[in-house]
Amino acid sequence: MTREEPLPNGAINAGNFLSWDQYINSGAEENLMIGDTVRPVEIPRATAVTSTSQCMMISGNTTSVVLLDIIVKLKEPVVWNSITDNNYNENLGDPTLAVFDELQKIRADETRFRALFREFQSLAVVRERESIAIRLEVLLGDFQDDYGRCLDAESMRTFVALYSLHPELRRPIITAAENGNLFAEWKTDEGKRFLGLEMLPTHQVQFVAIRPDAKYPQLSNYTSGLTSVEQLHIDLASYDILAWACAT
Amino acid sequence: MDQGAVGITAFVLEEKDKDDALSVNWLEFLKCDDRVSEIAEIQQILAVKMNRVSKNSRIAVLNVAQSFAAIDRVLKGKLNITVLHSPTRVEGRWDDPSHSSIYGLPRKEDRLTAATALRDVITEVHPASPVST
Repeated sequence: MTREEPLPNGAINAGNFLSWDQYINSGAEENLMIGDTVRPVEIPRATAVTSTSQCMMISGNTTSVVLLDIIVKLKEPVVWNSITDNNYNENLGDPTLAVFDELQKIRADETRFRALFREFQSLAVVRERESIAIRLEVLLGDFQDDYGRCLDAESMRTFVALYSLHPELRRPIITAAENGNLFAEWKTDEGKRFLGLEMLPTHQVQFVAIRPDAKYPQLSNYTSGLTSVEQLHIDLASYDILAWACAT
Repeated sequence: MDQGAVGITAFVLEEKDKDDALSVNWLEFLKCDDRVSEIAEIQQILAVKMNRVSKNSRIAVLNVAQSFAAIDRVLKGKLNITVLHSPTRVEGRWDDPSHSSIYGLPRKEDRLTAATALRDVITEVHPASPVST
């Protein structure tokens, strides 16, 4: 039995989506828009979605598509000409102050990031310092290309703090979110153990960790939370991260 | 991407992500003959939509059912994840008819757990811009 109802504005729950999916599969109407009507049909969730895949944009740095428009705007003022662009000035107000403040901030951020980067390079005891430094340099370049600004200096400070405390940590996978925060991930070769960290300001890290269950090793245990780099190995004691994330 | 691996950052909601939704594209909607053609179509859309597609950018393919199952497995039904077809366009500039959104991903607690679960069910990775020959 089916009934017609309007598609809620933007928020479609799992049942509606599946109904909509079924509706699409029926070939009746393919370009369904918000506000159109749909015929919800009771169908098993797994059946409805197995044939459907999603494609996601992934950048070396982040997933952003939309932010690039913002960056374009950010880059515009650099070529703004006070003599020829008076109309722009009249319509949008005087862009100079905001623009150059922004530019100055970008430069100051980079200076702070570079200082912390040099601090990292000076940590002689870090096991894979060279390799990590090369990765950070490449990531910084890619991020600046994509977003026209620097990686977050406070996130870098936390990264440096982590390696100051645990220089024996292996080189992780290092990526960055759109806000410039650094992410570091370690996992064992067989993928049974995993540690992912988002470097936040003031030595804080958001973490997720995976380990095999002690009694049923075929199962995985997950934990996540917020802690400081100083407290991390204590909070994750049962995950034994230093033992495997530092192993060769 | 670092060392050939997709980082979990790809699946973490950002502050700018409106409606708490992660943007994706629905491949079957494109009605192409094979995956190669689907990816080529997406690459074309991205090239038009984005000011610049970095050479390190990638397209990852995930199965919806596997994504739901992976998140359910680690978060035990705490999240209500939905996927919605949400075509987008900017008049006269670009049209992205297969654009869709993943709703229900967390912003604070569990965000990295959900991101890890999704990353672990990636089935394919392709360049986000056509490989030059």
